[in-house]
Amino acid sequence: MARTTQPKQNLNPLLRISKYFWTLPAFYTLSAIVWLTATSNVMRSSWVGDDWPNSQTPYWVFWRYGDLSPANVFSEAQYWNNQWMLGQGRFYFIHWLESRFAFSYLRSLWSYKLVETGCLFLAGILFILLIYKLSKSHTFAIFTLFSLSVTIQFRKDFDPHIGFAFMVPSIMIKVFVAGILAHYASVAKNNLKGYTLSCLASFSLLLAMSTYEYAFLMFPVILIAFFIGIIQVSNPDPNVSFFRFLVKSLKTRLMFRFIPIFITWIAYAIFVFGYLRLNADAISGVYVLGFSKTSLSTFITQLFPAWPLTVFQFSDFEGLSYKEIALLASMSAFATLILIVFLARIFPANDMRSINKNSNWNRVLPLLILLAVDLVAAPGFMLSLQREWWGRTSFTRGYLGILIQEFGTALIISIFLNSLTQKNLRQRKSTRDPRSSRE
Amino acid sequence: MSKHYHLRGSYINVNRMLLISFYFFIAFFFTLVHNFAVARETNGRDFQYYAWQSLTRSEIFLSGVKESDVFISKYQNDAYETNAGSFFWNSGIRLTYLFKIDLLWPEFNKCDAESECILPNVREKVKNTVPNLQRGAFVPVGRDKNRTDDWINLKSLPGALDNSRIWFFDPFLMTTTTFVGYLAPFDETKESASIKFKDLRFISIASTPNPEFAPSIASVCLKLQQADFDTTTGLYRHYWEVPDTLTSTNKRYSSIPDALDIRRVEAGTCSLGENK
Repeated sequence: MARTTQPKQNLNPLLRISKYFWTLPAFYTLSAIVWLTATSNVMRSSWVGDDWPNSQTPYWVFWRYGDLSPANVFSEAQYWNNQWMLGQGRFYFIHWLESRFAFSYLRSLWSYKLVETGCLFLAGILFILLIYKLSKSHTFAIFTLFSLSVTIQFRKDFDPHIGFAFMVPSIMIKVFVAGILAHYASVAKNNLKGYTLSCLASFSLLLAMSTYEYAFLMFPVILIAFFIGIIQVSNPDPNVSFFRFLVKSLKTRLMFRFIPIFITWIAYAIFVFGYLRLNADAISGVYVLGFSKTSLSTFITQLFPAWPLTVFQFSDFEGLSYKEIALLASMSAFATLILIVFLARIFPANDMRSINKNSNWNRVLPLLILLAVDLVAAPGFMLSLQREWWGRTSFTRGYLGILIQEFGTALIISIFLNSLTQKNLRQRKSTRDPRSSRE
Repeated sequence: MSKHYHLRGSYINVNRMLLISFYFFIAFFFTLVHNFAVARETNGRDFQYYAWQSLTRSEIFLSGVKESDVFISKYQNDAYETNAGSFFWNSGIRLTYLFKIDLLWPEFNKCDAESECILPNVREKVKNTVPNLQRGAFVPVGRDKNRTDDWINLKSLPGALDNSRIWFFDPFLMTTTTFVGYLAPFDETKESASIKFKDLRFISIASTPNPEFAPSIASVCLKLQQADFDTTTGLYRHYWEVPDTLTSTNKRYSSIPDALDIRRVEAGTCSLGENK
């Protein structure tokens, strides 16, 4: 990050403190605090939506079996999974397992909300870790976390942040872990390590898909993470067109490392869509897929709900006291102060470093845009195929996939902010050390 | 050769920086406000939730209720905490089940007190309905043989409910600050489902020590029996009973009835001094 040319022994104590403060971990910590502030509102909520009946799980288990043992809770999860799998042709065993155990052993509201907040927080942290791995830019990663802090918006009807047993944050965690592992698999120096990491990534993807079907449509995230790894390893000739590079890369031996992930994805599709759906005996109309003219409008409306302030209303202030408003304003001012300091002191230098470090930025950027588009469009695509949702969506209203879209939208905003700051930089003709350009 | 950069004119920097920061502040602040407001709105049921905990932990209100007894309710809702599982967890009394009434009599809503229809054989209805609560085909195969501990399977065995008492019970929010519940045993000698009215007990739960109103059932004002404070939830509980004699203002009955058709069991309010 920002560096000083003075020798260490000449620094006075104040400068030493300031040097420590401006280090990268300090900025990551501060931006993580901003993100934590954004997610901490989850702690203020009560049981929401399906969490009301599902929070009764331990008591039902206790009543039915006389004992709240892990075996009985597991059996309960198995029961509900079987009901949905054989009846509706849906497979999300991991969700049943997670939610049944969570409700059984996090019976007090605060402990459940703490885990819910933690999952959302962790999803954001893993997302920026993935983004850093792909972009090699700390600025870009921190921008993404700041952007995420303004795209996270609770909804009054179906809300994945404060309800539904943290199902969507949970799939985000697994998908991002899969993406990070897939990226490591492609950059690994030996094949054994590469295949091992790929197998771990495929396992994480399988867990994600077995948590909620939306993860199936997030496969491109993992593919892109893997592919950017290939770009970083092969360091392609800048004169070769992107398409030619793509075709050439697909033929390389490195691509074989992606096979475990691909097989897992296809196997899930065959199992769920090719077997379970066809043999389910009580499929509700809600889960029947189709296509009509309304699908297109549903899809288009669903590209926008995750943008900042789409659900804010001035009536939101009505239930708040002046003290609470002042507190929230102070928290916002604190977050903005961190951003200002970051913008003023850190990113110009950091950008230069990241640009120098990532000479393939022009190839990586389109793929990052594609990744963001997948996150934004996939949930809307899913809704557009469900008759139940035709005509029910709007530019501000979505369903549980809204959380996925918020991550994608944050990435788009971050790409925009990054390009805005890149314009602050002008290439020098001299070969002088880039660090000195700050001075 | 690596690329090297320097910053453009600083005023551009400052303008961009201020614009980004300004937009961020606005978006972050309004988002926090919105999320705070939505999160707070979800606390609307908290009072009912804690009042239910308080009700189900009251030994006074639940005196006489034993394991395997059956509760039947008009307003029970499995979507929330008012269920047999939560009842067992809080009270330690394992009911056979807490039925919503239309599970036993699907025609209940069409069968009002003024009509000719009757709601017969409450015990038979219960005995025939309990086996429907078994988990059937969806029970995981690997665990099926070990399910002898399944409460519903045990209660579906012949004679399992012969000694169970059947109660009419309803918990609900009467005003925004008072949660109430009534409980009365069924009078099984009657042709249509009825309760033993004189055995009815009533509880009102509030966060303030003094009750807002005196409750009534079927227009009969109830008499305050006693009160206590639940330290776990911080709520005050008031216990009410059916009085020995009617007040002079009651025009529906000449004397307190022994039995009351369950369709006539409706809660209302009286002024506090009505029945001391």
